[in-house]
Amino acid sequence: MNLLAPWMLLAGALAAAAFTVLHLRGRRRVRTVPFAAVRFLPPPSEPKTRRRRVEDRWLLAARVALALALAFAAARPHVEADTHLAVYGTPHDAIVVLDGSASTAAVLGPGTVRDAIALRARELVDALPAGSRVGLAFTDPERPGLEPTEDFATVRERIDAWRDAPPRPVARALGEAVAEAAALVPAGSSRPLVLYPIGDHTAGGVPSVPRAAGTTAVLPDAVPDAPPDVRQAWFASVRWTPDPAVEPGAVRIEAELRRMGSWPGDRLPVAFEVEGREIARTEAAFADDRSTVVFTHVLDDPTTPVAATLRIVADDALPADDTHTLWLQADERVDVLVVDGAPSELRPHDEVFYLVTALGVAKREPALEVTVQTPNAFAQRLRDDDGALGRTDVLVLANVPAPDPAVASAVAQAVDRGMGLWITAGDHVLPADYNRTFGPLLPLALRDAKVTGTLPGRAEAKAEHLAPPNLDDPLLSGAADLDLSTTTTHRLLLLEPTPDAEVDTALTFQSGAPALLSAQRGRGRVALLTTTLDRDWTDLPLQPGFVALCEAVVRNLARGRGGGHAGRRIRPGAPRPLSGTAPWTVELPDGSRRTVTAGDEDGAAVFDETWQLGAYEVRDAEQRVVDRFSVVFDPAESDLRPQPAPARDPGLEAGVTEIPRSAPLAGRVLELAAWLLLFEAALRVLPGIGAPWRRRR
Amino acid sequence: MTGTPRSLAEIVPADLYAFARRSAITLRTAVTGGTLGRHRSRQTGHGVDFFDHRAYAPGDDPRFLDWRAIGRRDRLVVRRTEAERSVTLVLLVDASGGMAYGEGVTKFDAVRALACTLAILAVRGGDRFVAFAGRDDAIHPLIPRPRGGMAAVADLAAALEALVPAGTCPWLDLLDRGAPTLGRGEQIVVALSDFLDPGAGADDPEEHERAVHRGFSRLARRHHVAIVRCLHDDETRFDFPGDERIRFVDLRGVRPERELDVARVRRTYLEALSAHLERVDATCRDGGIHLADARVPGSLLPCLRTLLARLAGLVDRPATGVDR
Repeated sequence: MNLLAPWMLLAGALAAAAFTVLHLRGRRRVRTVPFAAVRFLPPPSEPKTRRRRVEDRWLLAARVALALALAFAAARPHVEADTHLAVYGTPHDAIVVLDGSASTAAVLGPGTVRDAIALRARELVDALPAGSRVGLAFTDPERPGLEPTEDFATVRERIDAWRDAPPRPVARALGEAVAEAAALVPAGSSRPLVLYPIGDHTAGGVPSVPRAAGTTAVLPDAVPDAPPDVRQAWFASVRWTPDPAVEPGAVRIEAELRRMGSWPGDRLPVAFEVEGREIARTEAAFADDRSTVVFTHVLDDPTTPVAATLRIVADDALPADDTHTLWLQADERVDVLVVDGAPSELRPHDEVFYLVTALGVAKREPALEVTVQTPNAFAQRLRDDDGALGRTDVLVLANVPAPDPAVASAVAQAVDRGMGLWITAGDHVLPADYNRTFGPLLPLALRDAKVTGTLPGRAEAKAEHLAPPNLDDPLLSGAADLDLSTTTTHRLLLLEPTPDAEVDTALTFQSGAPALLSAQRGRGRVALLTTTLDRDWTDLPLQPGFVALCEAVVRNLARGRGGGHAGRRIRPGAPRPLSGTAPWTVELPDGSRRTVTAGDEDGAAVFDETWQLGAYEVRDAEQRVVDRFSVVFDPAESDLRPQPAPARDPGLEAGVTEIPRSAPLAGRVLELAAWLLLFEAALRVLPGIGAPWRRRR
Repeated sequence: MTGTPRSLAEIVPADLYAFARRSAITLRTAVTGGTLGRHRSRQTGHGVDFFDHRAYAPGDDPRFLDWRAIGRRDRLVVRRTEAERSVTLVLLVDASGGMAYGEGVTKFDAVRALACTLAILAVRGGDRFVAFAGRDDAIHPLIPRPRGGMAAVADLAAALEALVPAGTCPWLDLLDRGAPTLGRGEQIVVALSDFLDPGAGADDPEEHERAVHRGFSRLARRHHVAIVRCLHDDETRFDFPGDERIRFVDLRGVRPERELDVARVRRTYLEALSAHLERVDATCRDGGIHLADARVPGSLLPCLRTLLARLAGLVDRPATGVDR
């Protein structure tokens, strides 16, 4: 057995001495009083006096033993265990990569997974062959690594500092950190480099580690799995939707819960809180390891988002994931701005008549709020207000001439911050102008329009027909049974083929030419329909599936902004772009505020201090709320069940040495201390506990 | 005792001293016997107060002819007045160890002050006094023969100052020793003690205590007997901190020590003390003994007023004093 912190024994000895002194000083003393009326006092009972003396002795013994046991536990005793530590046998440069992912905050037995990882790291540092150097890397992107050094004391201090720092739910997996860790070694080093990632068995831990990082050997080490009986419950997903059928202002929140380990019953209480006040509580019934709870809540003001929190009211290994905060809004809607490039007094001749009509009959929630503007009015609006597109979820440019560069720039910035853009073709869409104005914003560069159909002198047979839609496409997600098979298209825009372009094609013509395609641009998505939205080039608006097509495209384009104005949910540490006018003030879940000034040269600003779980609110320079979002725990980190880890690279086996590992004894010692504490309390509370001992004497 | 002996003014509190300078001991009933003094007597003689008239007889002092009565009755009558007698005050002081109780002011300090005050009152009334103390199971004659005058009071104060309470008080011997000094007429006997344990030190303490009570009662048949019962607040209230465990040691050195939890025995103690005090009260009531309670710490003047009032017959019933 060895002690990792032997100096704690000295502290324990001092504590035991202090206990003894305090006990002797604090023992109940008997005062002597010369008295004249002793004859009226009853005779004392001798046995009680003797018993108290016995209790005093036991009490002192219990207290001293308790102090020594705690000191012994603090000294972190270890005994040799039957597992081994894999270390490269020859002197080398080692980089220990420490897993600080959210799951390492789980409490398993006497300490957290993080404590176990730190302990493993220290063991590893101690076990490295003489002449080696060791460096450190972390999954927390903001914690600087340590280049390989021969100063092992510094390495141990950094490990301890990492262990004692408050845990941050880091979104980066251990595998990602391993990929970057090799960069810590200065170029030109002749020593062999071995990476030692140490983490848990969850998805973001050792299982995410590759067998090798380029030419660098990787020797992963996983801390013990969570015991089968460890209790852990978390929110796998939370969905919400306005529910006006119940009552105006009502929202329906549906949460799927998961749990693992042995729980005493098949139910778990779940509380629903709005702005810090518990509104309702229910019990999730677990038939297996899954359950679903539903809350319906009526908001006082349907137009104002409120922060709501779901909370699992139970103690488990990972308390951080027992809450899930989200913004709720009853009348959440998708703002669709349609720029009509060919308006007409006769509504059926209007470029956007069919689109607006189709969006107007959309039944699903959230509602679609459609606004139609002419190109000139749209351009003027953008010139008057830079942030005019701040609340627009989807912008549709329907047969609109290419705008001037300033307008195009504003549109591009809005797309980059999450706005969806749908460009549809028409006579006013000149490919050269569009390519020059929008450039990289387009999914593919435009070429000339191609006439294929029944224009005078053309045969009907040569018209283009749509192939079956690709329902897996991001644009058509959620759309079912799109009946567009009989669409006849007479004219379409051709596109510049670009081999490396990352473009998703939702609809194609039977000739193979793309009809509807899209590409991700920043946080937003840009869709392009190569034919018209009215009947000028195609009879697509007359197809039974047109309504569903328009709704699906608009809703999926709106996802960049979270589908509406109630807040989006993001993972801890994920950056949040800011829109509106600088500077911004961000209110964090703990009530503190941060000010963000303008960001890079383009004026784009990002708030990246998103480590706290909970609701955030962003206000611009004019104190208008321009964004709300919440940071929620990554459910992948909640599942503590071990995932299969990759096998060790066979090429490394020859150089690896297996060193016996020690096992901590602190848990058992603490258990002993708990019993001693109970005994000490019993001695003080139960006056007769010393009596049997006295009789034996 | 250490330090310079205190003067009488230092021993007697100012309020007692002032009271003694303007008061006197007055007895409820006329006395018999004794020498000329200021107390009323059942006999006629030289005095001030009218007794009766009788027919003149040859040999009567013509100065006692009452000419006004002669004018009314037309025959010679002489005026007779009550004879005024002096009495002897017998002070019996308990100097046993139990009287040493108290922080700052002990019960013996109080008893000493009261004894000196009574002596002053007696001397100022033309009476004489004797004083004995019982200490360490022996009698200490303080003023063994009747004396008057402030010099005798000063001697008494000095003797009491030199006395350190210890041991037990031999009450029966003290009564025996004090009785011969009483002479033939009615006198005043004042015993000053806590009377908490008058039987301490005897083989049969309870019987001894009863014998002492009988002795006082017997004495009270012929004399004016008063008891000044001096108790400390700690004894009557037993107000020690409730969570304390205390080893009580008998100041008289006779009773075995008791180590007790104060909170547990308080009720038992107060009940036993109350029963004892009521026994003493009954003894005094039945035996015609005047009783006055003195409390330490506190002013002794109420006790002195009570005592004088009882001797003068202004208060009938003695009062007991246990704080329950």
